[in-house]
Amino acid sequence: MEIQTQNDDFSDMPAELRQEAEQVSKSRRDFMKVTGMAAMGAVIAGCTAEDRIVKPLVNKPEGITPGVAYQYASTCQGCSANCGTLMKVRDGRPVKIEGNNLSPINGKHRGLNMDAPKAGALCAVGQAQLWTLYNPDRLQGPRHKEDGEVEWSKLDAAASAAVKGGKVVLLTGTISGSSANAVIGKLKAKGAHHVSYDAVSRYSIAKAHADTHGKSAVPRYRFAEATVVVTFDADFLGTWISPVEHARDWATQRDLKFGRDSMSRLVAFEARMSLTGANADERHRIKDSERGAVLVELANKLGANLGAAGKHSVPADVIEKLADELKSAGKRGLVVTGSRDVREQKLCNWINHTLGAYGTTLDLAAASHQKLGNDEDLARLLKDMEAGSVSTLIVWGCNPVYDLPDGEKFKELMGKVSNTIAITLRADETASECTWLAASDDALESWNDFEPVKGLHTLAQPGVRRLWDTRNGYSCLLKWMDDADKNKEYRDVLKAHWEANVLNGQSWGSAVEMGFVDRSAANSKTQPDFRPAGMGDAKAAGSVADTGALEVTVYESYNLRDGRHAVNGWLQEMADPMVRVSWTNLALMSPTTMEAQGVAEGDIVEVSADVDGRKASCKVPVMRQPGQAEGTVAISLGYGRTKAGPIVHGRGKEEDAVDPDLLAEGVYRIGGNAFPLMGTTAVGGSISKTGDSIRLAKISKHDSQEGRPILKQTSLEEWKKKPNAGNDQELPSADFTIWPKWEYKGHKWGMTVDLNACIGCGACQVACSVENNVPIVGKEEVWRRREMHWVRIDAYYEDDSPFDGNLTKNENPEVGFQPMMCQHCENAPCETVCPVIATSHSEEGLNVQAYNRCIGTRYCANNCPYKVRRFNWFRYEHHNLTMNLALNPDLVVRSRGVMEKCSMCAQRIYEGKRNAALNNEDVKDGNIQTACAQTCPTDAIMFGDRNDAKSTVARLEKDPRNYAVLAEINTRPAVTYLTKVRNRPAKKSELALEHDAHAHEEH
Amino acid sequence: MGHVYSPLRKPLVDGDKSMHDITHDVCRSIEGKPTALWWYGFLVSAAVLGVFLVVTGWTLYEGIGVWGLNKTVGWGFDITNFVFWVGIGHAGTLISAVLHLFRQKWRTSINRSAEAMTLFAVVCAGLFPLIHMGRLWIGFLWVAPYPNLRGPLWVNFRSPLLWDVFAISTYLTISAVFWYIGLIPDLATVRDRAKHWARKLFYGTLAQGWNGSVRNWNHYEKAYMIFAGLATPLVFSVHSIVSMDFATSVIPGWHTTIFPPYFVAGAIFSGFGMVLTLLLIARKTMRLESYITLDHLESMGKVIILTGSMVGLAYGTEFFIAWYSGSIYESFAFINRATGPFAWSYWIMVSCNVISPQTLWFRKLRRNPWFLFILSIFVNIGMWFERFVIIVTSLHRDYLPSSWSYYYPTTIEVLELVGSFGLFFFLFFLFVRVMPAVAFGEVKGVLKMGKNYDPTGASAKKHVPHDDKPAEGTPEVSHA
Repeated sequence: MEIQTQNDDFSDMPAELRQEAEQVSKSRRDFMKVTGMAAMGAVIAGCTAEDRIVKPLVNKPEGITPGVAYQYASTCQGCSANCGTLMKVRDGRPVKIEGNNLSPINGKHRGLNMDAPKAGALCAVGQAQLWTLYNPDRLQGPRHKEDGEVEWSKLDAAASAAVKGGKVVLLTGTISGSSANAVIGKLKAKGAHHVSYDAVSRYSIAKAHADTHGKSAVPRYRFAEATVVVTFDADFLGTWISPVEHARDWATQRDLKFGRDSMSRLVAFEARMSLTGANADERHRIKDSERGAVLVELANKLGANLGAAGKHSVPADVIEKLADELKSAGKRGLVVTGSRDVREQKLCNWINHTLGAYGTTLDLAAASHQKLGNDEDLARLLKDMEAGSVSTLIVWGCNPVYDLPDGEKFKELMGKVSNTIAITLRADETASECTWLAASDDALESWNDFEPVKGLHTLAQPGVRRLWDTRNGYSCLLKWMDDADKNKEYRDVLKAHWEANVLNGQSWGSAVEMGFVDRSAANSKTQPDFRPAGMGDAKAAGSVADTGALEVTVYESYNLRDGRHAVNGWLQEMADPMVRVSWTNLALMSPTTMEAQGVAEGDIVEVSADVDGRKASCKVPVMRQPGQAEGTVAISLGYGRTKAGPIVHGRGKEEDAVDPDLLAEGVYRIGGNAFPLMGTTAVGGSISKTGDSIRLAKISKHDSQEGRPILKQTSLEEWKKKPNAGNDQELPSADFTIWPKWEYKGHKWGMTVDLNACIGCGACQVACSVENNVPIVGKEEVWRRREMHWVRIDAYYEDDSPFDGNLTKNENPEVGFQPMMCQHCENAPCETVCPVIATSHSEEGLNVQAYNRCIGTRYCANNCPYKVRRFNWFRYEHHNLTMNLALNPDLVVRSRGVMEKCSMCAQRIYEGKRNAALNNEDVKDGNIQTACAQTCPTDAIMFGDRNDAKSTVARLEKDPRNYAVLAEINTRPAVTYLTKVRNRPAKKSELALEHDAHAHEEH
Repeated sequence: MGHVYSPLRKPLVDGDKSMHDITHDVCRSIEGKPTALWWYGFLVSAAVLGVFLVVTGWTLYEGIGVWGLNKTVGWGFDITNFVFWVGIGHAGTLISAVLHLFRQKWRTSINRSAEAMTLFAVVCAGLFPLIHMGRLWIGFLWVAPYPNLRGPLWVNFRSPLLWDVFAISTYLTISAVFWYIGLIPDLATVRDRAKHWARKLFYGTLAQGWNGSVRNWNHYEKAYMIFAGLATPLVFSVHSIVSMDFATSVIPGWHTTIFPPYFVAGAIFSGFGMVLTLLLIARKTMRLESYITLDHLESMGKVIILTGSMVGLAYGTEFFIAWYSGSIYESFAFINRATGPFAWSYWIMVSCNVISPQTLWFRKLRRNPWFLFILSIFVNIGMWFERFVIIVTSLHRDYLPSSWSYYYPTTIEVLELVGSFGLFFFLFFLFVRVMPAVAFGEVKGVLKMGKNYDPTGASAKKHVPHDDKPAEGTPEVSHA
């Protein structure tokens, strides 16, 4: 694949050409020229919903070969972390979003000297952004609340009038871009106010730093520098601030490959089981109300004199030991908390300051701009609205009616504002309450800029000509405020601004090519001084009374985040990786708490609480979550959207999606809205049964590995003593086979998964689904265990307690994640049983599936010991032509009745080999990447040629941690795993694995 | 006094029938108007067949997803029904061919309907592997090794599913030919009795010019013997091959060398169960008590107790080997079978197949038609569950616990099972209406007619009770 420098905004070209065509009907020659180019435009932008005549190209456009994909650098807008992306654009439409591996935020090869970026890491949400672009359920043009579809001119006239007089407020999410803020600055210069807020706010961090360091900012956390990390409910591997960046950084300290022999420590204190907690070396279950007390005690042990801490359940020696560890880590220690309580944040700041961590593991000088929301501004706005002093409210890219704790009240207050305008992608809960709905471009259709951390300016560019009659939000603002630039394309405004303010002499072309300009070298290195006076009453956080009531914890869901991705089928179906129940959120409780509350799995309960003096409740089904603190119930945010458009139901058929009966059940189908339950401090509540119950669409039903050697793990100490610790199982000779052995003369593709690096986030799963056109099947079908994901993330809960028949009832289990995809066995059980040879072994070690040959006996799937084959039970329809644009043209969609499975991205292997052959060279290790390996933020999945002695996978074959799952049945998989090593004292079972195996046999 | 009775053996046909009586008794049901009972049975089974066609049509139209299968359990009712029906098909051939070779003359009155049952059961069995395919419309062709233009694409001779294709089609062919050859002499009799031209044409064509000459009989006996010889190994091979669908796999609970003999014993067991069910019905509804005597029933009861015990032994052996192998996966599979979520199906299987046949040690029960009827239903249920247990409980919890799941069959699947009985009985009712249901040509051969036989039967109308002891007036032969 080549990198295309996009000097010209081709996305807007057809529109320009159309105008041109209108002007030049002068000569036949001009006419021919224009039609030729328009035809090219039609091919490039062959994705409009309108009927268009597609003609073959007369002249090949310069620099673009039809059928060849090009990558354009951009910025992900799935969350406010703003990772760098590369859009894979083929024939004028994006078909895949990848991470930009040079991006300082999420790039895995940052710092390497490369002339052009290559595809790199991104999370599941980023991978799934194509859905948002192509989903036809977006606004396809401007609308009026009552009149329906209107002309832009009518909306513009009304909006221009509205922004002229009275108090104008622009309400947005985090907006960090330089040019973006310049546009908003122009609006502010005309007297308007700008309020930004984040649905899942991190304002407590900024506020705490304002007090303790005199700078209201969220620091940039650098987990790569930390050797001891303590987290109090900060799910930094999952959703906290900049998860891809944090996961990547954290994993660099966990790597034990190629001679590295030290690991960082991660200690988690939390109520619910988060992805971060699951990956912690040591995890303590505490209620939210105990968090302050533990922080105070930890601070005391580190020398703060805050007086006695309140009651909490963590043993004193644990905190003592932790304090010692932090002390010896010094400036390489880091304590973080996801608390919304400013006092707790201040305690963290004090500890980090005492450790000397500012400047190493967290940086306040070059602060993060990823969460700029200001809760105080928001509160002021609500007051103003209440007072009726706001005359015009422009809501842009946020959804306060849904995601404010008191969204209902906001809806009421909107009635007091005379002009309400939404710049929005869809008629969501807030926009549908506004008078005017300005249909905005999708992130993949428009120009934008960001500054996710100080000095790092990133660009977003369109990957496609806009699909519908939508407009860039900045263009809207410029037009409405009657600015001089109002008739310019926003790209030109942005370019002019960058040339004047950002580029500093660098060429615009190179900025567009790289997707970012890094000016962070100019940042000040001096951290603001700590001001002890700023601590104020922080120690009071240590004496929050535990009322004994059931505590309600709400958290940002990994897949839907704050709810903006509720329309995204890929994300709905992937489910939160910790919970693994699709298409709903849940009231999570530990098995013991469930028993105490007298509820069973699937029961729909109403969770109610008094939150900050307000009564709130949420109806969700119950699910057990071993490892959750007793007496707590956790509910994820992002679900329970009422105006998210037709959520895909049933088998993903469109007609099912709009079935009114199904929508009537809406609250249960799509979960409940937990935002009302979000409070600043611990929330005491209660649950009551509604009497209903549903079948949960679980991705996996069994959480114990039954003492089987599947996910092998050991402790760091044991591993240091014996490099094959945990992997010393005796195996029968692998040489025995009744078939002739395979000879791999050329390549022998293989994969190695480092279980130590895998955090279980599921980015690989979505990347795989997007790359390989894997259908989503809907809630009912997931309940039937028919999800189609080619990679699944197995999560195993382990401790020494015995198996109780279904899920483990463990008090505080350890969780291990294991991505499981087709193992491409050398002695593949599936290959021998297919009656028509639809699945067979390739010369390069792949187990290949010929879809056209498959007759669907399902024998191969039955005989697969890893159960990784997926059957097309129905016609998973692809009859939405717009959604079909998201399909990867490099491979087919499968018909019903056909078996499919991981192909190790065969299309990418062919492409890589072809490109190498064109350049007359051998395939270099790393030049071919499967979708999963490429997007993995922690490089847990590695792909390569086992016949190439220099390749990573070949070198890792010699690692004593390397093992094949179920090696004892002699399938000889091409996928191997590296033992998980935990940085904690060895458990009994790890000291005597063989003894345990015997004990199990006699069971 | 036409009949000569051995003092040591009881007669195989009761009622002191003359040859004419026999011809008449058997042909009556295909010559006269059908009885109300027949109409009732025929229409009910036709209706059930209709249900089968509708649900199967729906399955083909919508996709296999209308069943309750999932990514872990890829086979459920479909292959269970297949193996069940193949098993049923075993008794027919065993009774006709094997017992013929062993000169078991008692088989003559039941072999025709047992063979027909075999044929229809194999038809039912053959349907399920077809409709279980995701893409039947191409699959039915592609499993056949025919010359094609697809280059190296050919069937996979390593796949047990392909072996099934050969095994089932061979079995169906041989059974059909064997059945038809046996029918020829009787068809000729029916032809000779026919009055309507269409009947004459129909049976005449089928009888292929049989004239009852010694030469005819000579050829017939030889051909019959040859086909019996050909069919006999099939009794053992077909179900052995079906068992290899499982035995050659890697799934704990399937991967077992005991399967071939275990499946054959099970097949004979279930086949005899089904023969008993059918014959008890036929005996009652078609008044064939004289031909299907209590002695026949008792013999079949003995086969059931033998094969039932063999199956029980196999169940025990499986458990022993699972423990003895030392494989954690293997031992878990069997513990899970008896105690896991599908334990209910396992215990249904054990009670029906192992425990209930043990009652037949009592002679009284062996000779009680009502008891035998209920027992035969139990055996049928138990053997269906045996296949269900093997297929579903092994699949639903195999190697990686993350994939473990449960299997909830849908109504469609249940209706397909019920519907296949509709097809089976539909064919069976057609058969008893169109073809002579008892091989009267052979039955006549076991009548033990004496020298002074009166072919009109005029002197033998006296009632001769045959229960346990020879009738009054027959010469007592002293044992001395």
